[in-house]
Amino acid sequence: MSGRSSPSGRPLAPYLQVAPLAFIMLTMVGIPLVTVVMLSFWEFDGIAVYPAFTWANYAEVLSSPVTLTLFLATLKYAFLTLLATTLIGFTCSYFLVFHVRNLKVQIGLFLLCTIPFWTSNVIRMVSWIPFLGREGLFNSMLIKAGLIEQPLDILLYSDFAVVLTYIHLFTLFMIVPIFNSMAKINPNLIEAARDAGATPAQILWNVIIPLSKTGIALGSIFVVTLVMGDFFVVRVMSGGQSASVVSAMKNNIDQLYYPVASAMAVLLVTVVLLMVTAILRVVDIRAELAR
Amino acid sequence: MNDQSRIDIRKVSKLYGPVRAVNSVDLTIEGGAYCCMIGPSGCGKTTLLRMIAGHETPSSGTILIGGEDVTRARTGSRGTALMFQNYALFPHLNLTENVAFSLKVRGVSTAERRDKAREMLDRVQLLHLAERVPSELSGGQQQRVALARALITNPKVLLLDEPLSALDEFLRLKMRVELKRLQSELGITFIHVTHTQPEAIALADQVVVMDHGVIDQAASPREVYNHPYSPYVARFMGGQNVLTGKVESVERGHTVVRSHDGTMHDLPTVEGAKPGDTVNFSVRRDRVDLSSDAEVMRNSIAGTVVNIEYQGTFVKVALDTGLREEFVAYLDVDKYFAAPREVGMKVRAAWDAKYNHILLGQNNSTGTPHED
Amino acid sequence: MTQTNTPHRGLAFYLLAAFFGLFVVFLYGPMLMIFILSFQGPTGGLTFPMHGVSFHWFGDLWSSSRYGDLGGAFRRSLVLGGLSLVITAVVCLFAGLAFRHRFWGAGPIFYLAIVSLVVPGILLGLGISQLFQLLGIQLSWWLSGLGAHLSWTLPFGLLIMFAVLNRFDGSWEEAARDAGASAWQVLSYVTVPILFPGLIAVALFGFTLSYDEMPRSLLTVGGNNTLPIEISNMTTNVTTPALYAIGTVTSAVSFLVIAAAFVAIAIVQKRRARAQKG
Repeated sequence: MSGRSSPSGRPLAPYLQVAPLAFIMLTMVGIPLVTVVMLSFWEFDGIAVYPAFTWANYAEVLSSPVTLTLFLATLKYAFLTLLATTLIGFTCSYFLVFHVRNLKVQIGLFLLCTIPFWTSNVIRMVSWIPFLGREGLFNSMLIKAGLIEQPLDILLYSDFAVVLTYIHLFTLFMIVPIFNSMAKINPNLIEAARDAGATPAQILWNVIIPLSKTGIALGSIFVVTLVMGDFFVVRVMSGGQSASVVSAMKNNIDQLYYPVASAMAVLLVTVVLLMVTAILRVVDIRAELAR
Repeated sequence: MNDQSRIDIRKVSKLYGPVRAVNSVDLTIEGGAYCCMIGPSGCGKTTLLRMIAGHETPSSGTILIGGEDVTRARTGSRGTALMFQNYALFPHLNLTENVAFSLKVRGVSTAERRDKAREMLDRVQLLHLAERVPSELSGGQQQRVALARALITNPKVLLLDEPLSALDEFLRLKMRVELKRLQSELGITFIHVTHTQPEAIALADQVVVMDHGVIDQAASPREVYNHPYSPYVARFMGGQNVLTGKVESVERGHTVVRSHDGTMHDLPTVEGAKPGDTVNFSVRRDRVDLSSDAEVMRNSIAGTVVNIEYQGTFVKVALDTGLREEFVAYLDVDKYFAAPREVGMKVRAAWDAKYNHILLGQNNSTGTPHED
Repeated sequence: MTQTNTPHRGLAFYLLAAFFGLFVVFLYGPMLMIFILSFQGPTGGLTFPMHGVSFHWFGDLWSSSRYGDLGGAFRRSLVLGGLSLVITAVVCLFAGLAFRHRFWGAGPIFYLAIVSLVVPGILLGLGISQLFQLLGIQLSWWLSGLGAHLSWTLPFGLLIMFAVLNRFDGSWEEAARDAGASAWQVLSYVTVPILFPGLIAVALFGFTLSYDEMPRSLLTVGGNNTLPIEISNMTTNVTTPALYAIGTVTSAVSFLVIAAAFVAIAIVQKRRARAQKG
């Protein structure tokens, strides 16, 4: 219909309404991030930080052979986690949307998947310790079953434990957006595809996956940024044997090397943003969300 | 009541950025009239309605209700009540609370507003559902609640934004009757926005045909239907064939116009027309007869039958005349079946010269009527 | 929802159901295990078997001084959670309403919120703590800490608010205005009551995200730690089931809050349903 614009005569209202959010976002996100960027150009003499404009911090980070290793390790974690969470998230959403017929049951099961989101990540990580440890449940089960004689050491304090914990923590970030985009698929489309003679596999490949792309992309952004921003899981679950960019950055912070830490942070955020942009290139999330 | 609910709209415009949604509109709606604003989507009718209601402020111009300037008066304090297209009933309130809402915000006591709301619900025959919430109601019932809610403050003007569009065919015809009855009972001004031409014709004392932010014609339904002002109005209101020709000769009380195929048409005097000028005119579809293609005569048009529809009370025959628009004839059933036609036949449609109507307005857009 | 034509469920259904079941076990199993192990007997260790059942380790949390200021951390986390709940609900309600209109700066504010979700929490913590130090403001859990938490809860709250407002019809507000309601009356009689269940959801996010937040708090709370920081310190220092006991306690709080939110939403819905029955 003819334009339905803001309520007449009150053009100020949205500015007043958004002011608190804008203020907090600016003071607690915008300016702090600028501070970090600024800090990455400052000088550090081993004792204190001085205002300056130097590329030395970047030079130090980029010339260190450790940096590449850290980035590769971080990307490896991100890739493995992304792969597993996508497969699990897609399968679970597919089951919920297309195989659970009762709407109430569907929503109930969906909530069951999301409730852990509202509990502590630290505790959820800790909860793997009694399971994976040398004397943990998994090892004792394997020994009892006669599959192994000595307990496996690689279960806890290893890359395996790190990725497993990531999957445990972050799969629901995949389920929620995929579930949402799948739930929007008009069931008639599936019927039409079946009418046209498509097999279930063809329907999955040609109809459901393309229409779930937005959800997968959104979930991927969540998972990639969460994994790449973590320092705690990698530190604890690898038993201090592995490191990621952020955990190395955390070490720098602990030693008060703020400018170097900031330079690493700027590089990491650049890489993360590039990856997010790449994902957005594949799927125009904004256009699809507006649907 | 009458003068109090008279509406004067003077040079009102509404701009959204560079877009003129309403462009310098002048309109007077007599107090106690039933006015229908009609036009295609985006013609500005809803914007005009919302400016009368106070949900939009005109970019320029003045709006008077009962002689009082309300251009910038607050919504809800100008004696208008708007009934929304989707009814906008509050989902968290029951019917009594919904209907009593405007009394509540005016500080009327709980007992008093409850009594008044129940009285109003009784009037729309919904008292037995007074404690229900809107989601439990059918579309027709929701609409009656919306009416009750709008009328509880005794407004001078009731504004209805496509009030019937959400209803099914049967209910729409039923509610149409009820709206008309209600309006004559209350004696207040109703302004009803619609895009359905039969609705406007059936209800209105005054039909306002709009297009691109301007009013093309504002007149009684008979006047608009029989004497459309412009080709657009003729097309949009339906029932007309629009033709174009060049003035051949101007005689006293008489103008001869030659149409695209060379046929001569006898039109009444066209003010200021000179030979060579282009003139638009219309002829009602039900004033046309068919004859064989062979006879060439004045006030006629030749064409090929492209479609025949039996409509019960008449037969609709569409001709391809080589023009962009089809020429349509509504034929008497008995007469038609005495000499039925077939698709592909070449025929000539002819009419009496007195049915030629000159279209003075220049708006030549192809308004597509919504036929019910 | 989805109507499959097949009258009986095929093999695919059972395979998928089994997969989903396994996932749920994977999701909840480990947590369940530490809940059980937190009731370990006094001589028991970090893993099975259970050496009796006791509340020993819960008592240990209270009585022992080994675990730092757990009581204080718990109290601070609850206060921060409460503040975040209120601020998130109020700020996101109004911001959500604002974003329905076009206004100058809408894009930058939205992207800032998204950036806040995407950047590593520890990095934002570094930024906030350094900014405060540059400005000479002392770091405190109730100011810089709260700010760090809001940088996390507000963007989530805003996204939830968008979803909630998607189903909110602006003509309800217009109808109220048409009836003569003032801006305040529109808000209190129409907008807030209709949005109430959604606001509870936003508030739930506000509380739990703050209550469990660790990476952003780490550098911003100053000398007084929050509970998640204390717990993450314990993961490296504490080798007794006391670690599980604090896990059980904090999870119980989370589950209580979730349950309270769900019950509140259910009550609102039921009240409306009751009104329907008349």
